[in-house]
Amino acid sequence: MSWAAHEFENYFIQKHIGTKASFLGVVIGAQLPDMFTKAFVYAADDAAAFHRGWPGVGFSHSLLFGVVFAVAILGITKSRAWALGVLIGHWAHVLTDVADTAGVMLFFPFSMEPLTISMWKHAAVEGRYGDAAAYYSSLGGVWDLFWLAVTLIFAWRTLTASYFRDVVIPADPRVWGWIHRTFRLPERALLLLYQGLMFYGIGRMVAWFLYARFDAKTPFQPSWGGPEYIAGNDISDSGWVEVLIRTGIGGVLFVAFMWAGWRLFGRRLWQRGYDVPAAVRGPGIHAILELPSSKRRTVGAEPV
Amino acid sequence: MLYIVIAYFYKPILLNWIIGPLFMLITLHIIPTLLRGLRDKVRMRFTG
Repeated sequence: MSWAAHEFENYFIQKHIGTKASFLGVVIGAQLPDMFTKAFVYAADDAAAFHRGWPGVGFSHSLLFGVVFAVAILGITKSRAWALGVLIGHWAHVLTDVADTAGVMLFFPFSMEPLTISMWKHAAVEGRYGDAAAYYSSLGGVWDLFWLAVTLIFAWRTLTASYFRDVVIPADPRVWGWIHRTFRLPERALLLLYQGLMFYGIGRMVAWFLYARFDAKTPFQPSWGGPEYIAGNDISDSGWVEVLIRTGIGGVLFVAFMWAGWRLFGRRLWQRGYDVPAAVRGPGIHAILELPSSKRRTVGAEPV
Repeated sequence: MLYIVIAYFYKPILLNWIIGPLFMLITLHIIPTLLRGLRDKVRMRFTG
């Protein structure tokens, strides 16, 4: 599992989605795989198998799980920005978790073979504190640092007040507006809420790293498949050829299922949905005023 | 910085998963706003 990387990635994703998807949707999507399961994972006898396998709650880390939630959100709210945001956030989380030794059942239920590159050990068996110490003693901690650097170098603009005002709010005016009205939060407070996730990620990363070094005193072993001081938690004993074949079959079946789902009801559901004005006419002032330069996409879109 | 110090010594889920993401909002907006309100109330009481 990854720790702060799940927070940092959201801003990098935001840079690329612009006004097409909701940032809050991405955040919720990124938390979705662990939202209802993480607390039980640490209490399980075989934490890795329960977290990522079947039987267990490993289905929460499959691509289809994100699709089911996105379809439900699109059906209920008709918001394309939210459906897309939740889907992107969820898939980003799932793909990130491929890096630990437990891996993810990417194409569940079409393939139950966990896919992993075994960069660091899944250490939930050590309990929450032990998991954190192991993660920040392995390449996992370096992975967090990598995503922090990527976000600060390539997506620093997404953290500015002007970007928040011009892109993030117009991409999801209803929910930000609801938070503003319900909790009587001015724009500055909304910005703190938005930027808070980034600082939370940094704080979490530094605090757990210090905990690993000075409290748990675990050895820092950032080598592939580390740390060495704990046993591996690979939940599959298949060779890489078996993994590739099963995952390949699962992938083909998943794509076929998605195509059939799109043809049967997905396309109709998408057409019934709406885009926010900013996604249709462009960010900033274009979201409010229709200018000659703001026409970008008009098909299937209606103003909110 | 404050979060790192608190999080180092106090690790329950309440701080890590619930208060953590709202930490900046709470420390930089909600608490100062409440304190300002309290200060104004006290000032009103003593100055009439």
